[in-house]
Amino acid sequence: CRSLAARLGPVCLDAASFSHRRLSFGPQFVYTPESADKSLGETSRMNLFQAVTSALDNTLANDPSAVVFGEDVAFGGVFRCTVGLKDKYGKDRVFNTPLSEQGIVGFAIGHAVAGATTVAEIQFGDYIFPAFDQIANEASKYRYRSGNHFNCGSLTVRAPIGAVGHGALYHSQSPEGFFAHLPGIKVVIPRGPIQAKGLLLACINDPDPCFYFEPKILYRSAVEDVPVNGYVLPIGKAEVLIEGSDVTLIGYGTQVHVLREVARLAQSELGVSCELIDMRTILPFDEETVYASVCKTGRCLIAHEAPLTGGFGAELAASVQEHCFLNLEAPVRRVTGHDTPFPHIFENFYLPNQRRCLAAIKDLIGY
Amino acid sequence: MFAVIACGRLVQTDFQQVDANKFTLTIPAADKVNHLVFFLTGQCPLPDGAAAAVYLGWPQPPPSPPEPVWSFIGHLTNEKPSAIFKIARTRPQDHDPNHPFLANHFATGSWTDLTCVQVGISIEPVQTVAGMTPPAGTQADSTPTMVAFSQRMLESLVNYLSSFATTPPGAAESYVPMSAVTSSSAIRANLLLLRGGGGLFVSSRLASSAVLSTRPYKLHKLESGPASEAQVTSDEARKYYRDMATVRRMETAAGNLYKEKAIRGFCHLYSGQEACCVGMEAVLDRNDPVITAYRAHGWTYTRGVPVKAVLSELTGRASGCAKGKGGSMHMYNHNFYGGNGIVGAQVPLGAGIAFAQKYREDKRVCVTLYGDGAANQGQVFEAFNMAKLWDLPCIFVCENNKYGMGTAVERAAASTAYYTRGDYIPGLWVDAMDVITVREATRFAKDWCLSGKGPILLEMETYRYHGHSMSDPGTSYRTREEVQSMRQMRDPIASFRQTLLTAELVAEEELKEIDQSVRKEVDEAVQAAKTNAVPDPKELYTNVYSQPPSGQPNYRIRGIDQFTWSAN
Repeated sequence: CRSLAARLGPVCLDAASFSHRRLSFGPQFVYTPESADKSLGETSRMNLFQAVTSALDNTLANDPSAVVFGEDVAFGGVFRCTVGLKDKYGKDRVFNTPLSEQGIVGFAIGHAVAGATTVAEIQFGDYIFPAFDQIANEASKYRYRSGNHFNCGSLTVRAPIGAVGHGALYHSQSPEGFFAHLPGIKVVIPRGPIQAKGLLLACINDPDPCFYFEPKILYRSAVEDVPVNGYVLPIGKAEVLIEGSDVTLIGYGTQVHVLREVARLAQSELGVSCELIDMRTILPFDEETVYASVCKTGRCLIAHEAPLTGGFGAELAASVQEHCFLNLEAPVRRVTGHDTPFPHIFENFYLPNQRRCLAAIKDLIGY
Repeated sequence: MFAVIACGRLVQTDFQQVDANKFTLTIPAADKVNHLVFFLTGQCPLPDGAAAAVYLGWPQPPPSPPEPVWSFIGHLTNEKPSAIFKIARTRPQDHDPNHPFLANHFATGSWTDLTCVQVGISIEPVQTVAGMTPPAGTQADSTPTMVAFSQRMLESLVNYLSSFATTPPGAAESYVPMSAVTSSSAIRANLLLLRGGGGLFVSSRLASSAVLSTRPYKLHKLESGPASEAQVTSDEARKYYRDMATVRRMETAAGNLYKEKAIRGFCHLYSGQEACCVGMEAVLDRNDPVITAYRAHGWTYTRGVPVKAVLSELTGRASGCAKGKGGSMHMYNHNFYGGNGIVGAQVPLGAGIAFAQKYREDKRVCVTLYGDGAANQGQVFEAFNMAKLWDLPCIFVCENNKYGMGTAVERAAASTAYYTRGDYIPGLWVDAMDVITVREATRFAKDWCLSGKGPILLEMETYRYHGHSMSDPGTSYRTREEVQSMRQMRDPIASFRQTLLTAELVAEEELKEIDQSVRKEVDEAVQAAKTNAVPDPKELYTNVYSQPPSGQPNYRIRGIDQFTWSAN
């Protein structure tokens, strides 16, 4: 396995070294803080979970119908996203539910249909599947099937997702692909604290049911100066973070930061200029920004942690080739998790790390 | 010819022959004596057809006449040369003026000393003696009365404690301070006996088996429950002790490995709940399938996975029981279906496994475990319905350790009587801090299922000392005092240890040896877990399907880049 290590570089390690060295697990990136628009006013240093708390705080303060519930949210939540809210707003507005995901989401849909602003938390995205029937068959179809008589638009469901370095099979999954397949809901994934607060407030205010997935590895590691007042960022709008001319890199959540590093390496090692897009909204996704970019660069690399087959990258790739065919210099490439369950061992090899992405860029350029 | 022993004293043979067939002896300070043992010394046997009738003469206090009051308490024969009599309550109320021992003032010694009792032995024909009835309460019981003895212990404890009761100002009733319970040595002695689960057996050195009593059960839709007593052999006792000690030590080692970061991710420790898996496994055999949730290391061990394989699985080594691919929550073995991460998801699986047993007409039960948190999952009730509808041989077990992660059961469940939550499924509440209690409940449940009565639900009320997982200190939602007091007062291993010592089933030295050998086994396993080889990198993408998927011999897992492929 030595040749593997040599080609993949410092990120990967050979088998023998496992027992002798402290290993670096999980997505490898350095978080680059951003700054908020000055017009949004006073800011405070917050990490991602504090940004979420701030958004919920704003919501509970301004909307008397708003409630927040989920497993263990009352004491502050296992990721501390709801710290202090129960004390501030009372236990009839911030409360714990029993351990029943299907019950939580069904109950939340009902509450939203009755008109209240409902923010439900699912403790880990890996646990959302018992609720999938409620989401697929109730939440997403309510407005359509009732001919606009009813809707559960005031529903927002939050859940942490993504690799964290030691989550193994049931604490690392990225389920956004399943949800992208449900017309009627919106799916949003932020990349940092400023984005998180604005997008969460946008979801809560959005007239359609929104599923907001927070990359759990960023809860503590992403720190920025976040505006203390409420503000919204647009749903359904991707963002071009780095402008470039040779390859379009598309990602969301944690992967955006890995791709930042890839862009830097591509420039320094390969002399390739990359344009980096953060999708932000998975459904409905921003077609215009993506097609404009790929038509400009001619090459597209999509990266996500979720497995390859049927992952959201598949939808992007199909759409890009359809709309940008004549501008493409190379087939659209996807660098993703393997088509296996999220592993307990060898997470480094599984994830779409910098080296795998860089190798794909080489292929795109050399096509 | 005769001798008598009072407990704690030298044997007395100083009988004085007061008549052709009568002998007497004085026992001093007899008010302190509860039992007397009489026996023929064997120097010369009784004449044929004769028996020795034993009488006790209690002195009467003034103003009664000074003669002692005699009563018959039993007899000896050549065939029954020794006997033990309880004398504490033989002081008779009525004075029989025609009593043979009174006739010639045969009493020796000073019977104005009210603390002395006179013993009289009269050799009489067997037929005469056989017709005489000793007063009630003199015959030592021929079978050990653990229940009666325990009851008396409890009564004396209650009496003792109630003497300390005080009514605080403003209170509606009186309370007993904890210092009364913990400070007195008499109480400590009582507690030791109580901690032994009421299991008492006054026996000679190291019995080969003992009858231990189980802690009380609560029944739901059951006419009767498990046995209140159980026979435990010393071999069984040693095995249960060893298994529980191994699980405890293994979990402690896992916790330490986690703190050293040799184990990462999620690690849910079973310490405190050992009696549940060991007690149940004592009745199950390896052909009875078991499925549980993620707090599975204890069960993995009792299901036959060596400590080394458990710890290696935790550290992600190839020698782990799931090749290192599962980790803490996914350990498996023959007829052990894991090890499941999603709360409650294993319960319908358990019903399905039970159905397979029934379909194949295997005379087996499936034990399906879940926790108090999972008891509120909808799929659990779906499984109950199917199991009862189709009479599946499924023992549902709710391991109620009082907290679902950080949420106390009262805050999560509208009904915390988990043993009744099966509704139409009969249920049993079990004090699962005692391994024998668990064992007998499991025996009852297994018999129930195998006799075709359908499923049954056991609630094992237990406790976990550690937090929910290694990232939970376990003290933000419960007090340290609570955890400490459970460890001190209700620890399953310590209380079983005490029971065994009190019952003289296993010697203290043997228990120490077991502890040492367990420590050695776990230490070796820890070493192996830290140093054994990691799995081959191709394990990253093997076993997704059967290899290769049928009909597609050249199938390759998608998404893997050429580097990973070329490494193999």
